[in-house]
Amino acid sequence: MAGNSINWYDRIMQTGFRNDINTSISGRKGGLNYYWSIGRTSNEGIFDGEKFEALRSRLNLDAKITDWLTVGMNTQFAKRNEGFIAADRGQIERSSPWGSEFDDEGNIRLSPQDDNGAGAVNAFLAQKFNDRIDLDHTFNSRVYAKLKLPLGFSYEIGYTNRLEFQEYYNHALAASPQNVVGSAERKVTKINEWQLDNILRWDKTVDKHSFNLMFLVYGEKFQSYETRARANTFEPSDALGYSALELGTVQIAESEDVTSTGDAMMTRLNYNYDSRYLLTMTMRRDGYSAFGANNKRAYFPSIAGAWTISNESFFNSEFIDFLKLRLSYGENGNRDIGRFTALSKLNANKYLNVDAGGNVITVPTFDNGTQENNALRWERTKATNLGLDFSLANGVVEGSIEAYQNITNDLIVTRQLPNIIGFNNVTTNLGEIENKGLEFTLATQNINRENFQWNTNFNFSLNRNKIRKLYGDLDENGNELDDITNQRFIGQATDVIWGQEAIGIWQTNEAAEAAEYGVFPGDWKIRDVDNSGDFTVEDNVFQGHRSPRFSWAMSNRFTMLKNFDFSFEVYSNWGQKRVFNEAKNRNGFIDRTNSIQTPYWTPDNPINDYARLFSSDGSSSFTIWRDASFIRLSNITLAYRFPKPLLEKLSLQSLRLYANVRNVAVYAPHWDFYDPEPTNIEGRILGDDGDFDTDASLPTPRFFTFGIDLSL
Amino acid sequence: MMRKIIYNYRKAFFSFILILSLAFTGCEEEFLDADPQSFFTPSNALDTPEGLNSLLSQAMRNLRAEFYGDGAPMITENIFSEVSVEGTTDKSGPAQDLNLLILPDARLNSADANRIGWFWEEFYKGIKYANTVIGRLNDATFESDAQKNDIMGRALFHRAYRYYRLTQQFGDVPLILEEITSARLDFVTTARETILRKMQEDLNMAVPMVNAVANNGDINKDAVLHLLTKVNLALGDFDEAIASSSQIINGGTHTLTTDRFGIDADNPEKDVTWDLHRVENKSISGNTEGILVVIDRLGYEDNGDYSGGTSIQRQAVPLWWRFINTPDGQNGMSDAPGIDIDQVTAIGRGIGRNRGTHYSTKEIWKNANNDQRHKLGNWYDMEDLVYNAPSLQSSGNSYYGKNLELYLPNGTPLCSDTIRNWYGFPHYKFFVPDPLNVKPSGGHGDWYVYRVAETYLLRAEAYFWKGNLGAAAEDINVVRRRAEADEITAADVDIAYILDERARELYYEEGRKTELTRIAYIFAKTGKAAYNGKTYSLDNFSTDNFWYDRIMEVTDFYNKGVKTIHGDEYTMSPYHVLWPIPASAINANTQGVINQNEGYPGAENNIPPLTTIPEE
Repeated sequence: MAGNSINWYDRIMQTGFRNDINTSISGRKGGLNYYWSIGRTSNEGIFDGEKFEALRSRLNLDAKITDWLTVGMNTQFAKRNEGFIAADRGQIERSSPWGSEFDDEGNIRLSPQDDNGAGAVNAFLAQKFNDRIDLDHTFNSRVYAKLKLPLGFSYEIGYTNRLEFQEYYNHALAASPQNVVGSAERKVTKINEWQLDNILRWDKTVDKHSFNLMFLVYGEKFQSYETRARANTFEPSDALGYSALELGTVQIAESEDVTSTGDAMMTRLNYNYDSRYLLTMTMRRDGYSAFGANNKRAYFPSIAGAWTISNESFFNSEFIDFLKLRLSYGENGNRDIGRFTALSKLNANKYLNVDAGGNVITVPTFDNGTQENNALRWERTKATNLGLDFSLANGVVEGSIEAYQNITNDLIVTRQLPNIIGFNNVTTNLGEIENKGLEFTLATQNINRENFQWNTNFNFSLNRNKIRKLYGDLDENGNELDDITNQRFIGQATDVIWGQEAIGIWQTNEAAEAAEYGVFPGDWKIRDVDNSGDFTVEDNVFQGHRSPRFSWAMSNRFTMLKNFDFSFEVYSNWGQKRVFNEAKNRNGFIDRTNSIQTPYWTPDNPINDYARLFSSDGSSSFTIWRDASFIRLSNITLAYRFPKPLLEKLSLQSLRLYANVRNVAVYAPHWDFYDPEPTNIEGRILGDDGDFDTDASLPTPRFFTFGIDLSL
Repeated sequence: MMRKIIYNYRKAFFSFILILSLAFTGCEEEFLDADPQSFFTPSNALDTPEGLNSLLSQAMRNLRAEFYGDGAPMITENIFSEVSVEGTTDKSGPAQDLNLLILPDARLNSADANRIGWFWEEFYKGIKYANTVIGRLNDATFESDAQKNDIMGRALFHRAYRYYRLTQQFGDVPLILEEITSARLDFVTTARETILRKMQEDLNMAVPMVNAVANNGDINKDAVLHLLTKVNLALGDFDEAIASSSQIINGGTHTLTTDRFGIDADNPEKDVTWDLHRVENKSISGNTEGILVVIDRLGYEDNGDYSGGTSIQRQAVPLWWRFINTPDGQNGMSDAPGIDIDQVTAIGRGIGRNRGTHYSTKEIWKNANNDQRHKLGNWYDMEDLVYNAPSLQSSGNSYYGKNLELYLPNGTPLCSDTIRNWYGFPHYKFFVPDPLNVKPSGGHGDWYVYRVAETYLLRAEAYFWKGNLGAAAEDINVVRRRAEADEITAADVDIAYILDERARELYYEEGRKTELTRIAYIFAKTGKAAYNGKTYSLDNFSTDNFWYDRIMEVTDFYNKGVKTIHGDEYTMSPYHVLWPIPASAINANTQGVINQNEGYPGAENNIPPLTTIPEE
């Protein structure tokens, strides 16, 4: 093996090229406004083979037919291609540098170190031995008509239709060393969703009184139809893959159709007196088919008032240009539940019998896996909001301060049940949670000269939440009981961390004490709260929070010599904790696979924050939490706008060249692993399991962009 | 142009708007009734015999799962007895240091820990299916009373099957006899004996209701009688146990299979013991012995199979393919398929999770003589395997193809982990063809839950408790004769012998912990002196019991200072006779008290269990 080693990081990671081209035209002719755009995106990811392609186009038409009638249509088409397969990034850690991708005959190896049982599998198997189409076509259309009616009335009707086709065809080749037989599937999903809204408005101004009344009637329907056909063990061979499923000797057909409906009615009154006093009152009724039979609809009122102090005659300040005080109270609903959560679902499956003649027969099975909850109802949040908007010194300083208190009742939660019922949980409404917080935004023009401008935007937010009530179960003293099973505690936040606490590492001179807990020097030392010598729920303690205690963001923009723009953005989440079980030092099989080297305890390296290799948890079950506070320099942009005179010669309206870097640097004083933020900076990534990926070992890419904005 | 077109169609346009508006406002209430299209709900599917049967088939699926898959729950039954220990020696977590790991809050349902929690959760699910059928029986219209009775009787079986197991695994547990349709949180514990009495009553009722002959894979009358025999024994009703087991033995529907049959019937190298355990033979007409068989077949992927199959070779065959050297110090073994000496295809790629003890792999076979169950080919000791690494072949090593040796003449071991890598095993039970894996794990195949051999051993036990040792010896000899083992006399019969014979005949079939605990309860309840000279009492069952004493007596792992290569020590305590009630059940039950078993944290909150069943 002299000198022959593979750097799997280099093999698996790549510099991904991304390109994004967007073109649009817009204009107006007679009463017709039009807008058309087309864009193409082709983005490679940071892992070998990772890619995403999209094509989008939009056409908006708005025709003013007469003084009283306008009709229009907005249509959008998009095609997304996700049929690309990335190399298995986990192999950066697990594959041995002394292994090999190919055997002596040049065939691809199942496992670089011939130990696939331990999870060391050739990183490129999936992309080499799968033939995949993964396409998504969407067509969204909205047609509308606006009518002006006499006496200040107007009416608008709109119909929105969304049609989506998802196609997934995959052939896992029998030729893969991972597969014994070939298998293939075709999955086609059609989603059709429509929304219909009718809005009647009445606008009236009498002297300084201005009224705006709105009445809405709305309906929606969602329908999806999914067909999935799978086959494996093809004869004579799997060469035709998903294009000839009928050649498979095992055939599986599945389908799932889903429908849901919703409706709403709303009345809203806006009243404005002399641009000084504003009052908005709303009443709405929302309905959604997923709630329990008796509770599909709910009413949500709200009221808001604002006082523009700076418009008062008595207000006479040179310094303050604008000052507005806002106060609102509103109730709103949350319907974020599965479409059939309230029902008891009989999961149908099959079991086998053998009859007297020795023939195998399949028999149907029903698993009543969920409990019915006819009482399931809308989650309701009562939000009170107090805000102040201001602008000072001719707009040099602008900002707002906002304080809020949201009280959420009837939270929709999955409640753990005593599992002896045979149902593990039920979706139900519970208790009361209070969220209160403060948000502060400030925009300043620090310097405003002809050849140099500097603007800063800053915002700060913090939120505190607290469970005020649960199910109403009381203890003997009349105090409400905590829900330990679901880790919900009266008076604590919903994201509080509660569990057995790792407080350090047992050191060599503590061997005897460690032995009492069945562990050894180098293992984690757990706080034995009740000094009982064992670990139970009595030893659990609160250990901070999962979400940031406060966040802030700041952006600075400099304009130099009229045509150069420079800007940078910084943001920070502070005070949140994340799981860091890597500190247990037993990720995978240390003796069989490669693994990320984290610091580890030895008698000669008696550290207190990482355990020995392959440490033991003893009888405790605990999670290591680390502070994941960070400050990120998220964006630096430099742009050049071509000057007008030059553009005129070239018959251009505008031309801008820019370069930008995202995810420039991150400072995380207590976090020493992959990115402290468990998400991609472009947003959360949907994992294969349908959940959002919050993998601690997901690196965040750094993006470099060069762009041209051109207007003709 | 456009303007003109729209002008022309203005009437139509307004009508369209009007219709849409009316269509929407017209369908008020019904509009939000979006019914499920792709699944059934209890209200539209459980009011027919077919719907109720589907729940009972689900109960069978649920029952089947104990014997299949990675970290099969049945392994936990084995390691809490004399026959096996947890052999996954390269990490902490598997149930080895029981004093440390077996706690109410610990990981109780994982292949990497143990499956105590699986039994708790899944058995209560089985009870739910049965209760749902019993409670909804009168909603359905049946073709005949016989059909109705058969459904009811099988539901009673399923419920009793779970409660019999739960009461031997956990002792006193909550007794639920109805479908729970609300978020109830006020359960309490009922005494083991009270539960068993109710199950005895139910099973006696079910015996005449259930069809004598049913499809393989489902419940028949003899299965009910077999379970009733166990419940009778657990209650100390030995005469009733003799009666119920005799009903099977004399009934003629199921008999001990003594003649060659099935796929290998013409192979003179094999014998009836081999035939009996071929997965291809467990549900064919030549097999008269299987009373209750669970079905899993290749080719029924997502269509009734157990995904992945038995996985039994992976679980129970030793990890023979690593860490074994030739006497001249070369790596001796290979699990590559298709090599000249292809041992992996022959015996499977074991990982030694279910490690047979010296007791079950050596001690009970001391006088095996012609016993088919220990015959070479049916049984393999490590010394029956050969060095097969291709590197030995290519280097011309003289040990290639020779039988394994454990020690050099000077006593140096040639295997670095004799816990996980070196023990004998019954190939005749574990050989389940696995064409889907190039390195077989043990594939799809049927598994015995109850068979007549156990019926004989249960009746032998009942005779033993009655003091009729002659009849006990004769029942044991029926089983031994079939295996060509030497016959015994009445003088040989004691509970130790019955347990030995069960281990020989029913290894990896019986729930060993369940049965050993049942016997420990009988000693405690009857006060009868055990062969070890001790008597036991229910008063201090968790501190002094036969289950613990028996394991300490015959096994060489627990509390003997044995440590895995990872450094975990095998420990066990008398209170492990009853498993911990999972804390999740106790914690979620905020309005009642589910008792914890003694010896585990939380038992101090216990209240006396119910000894009667409250009238509804």
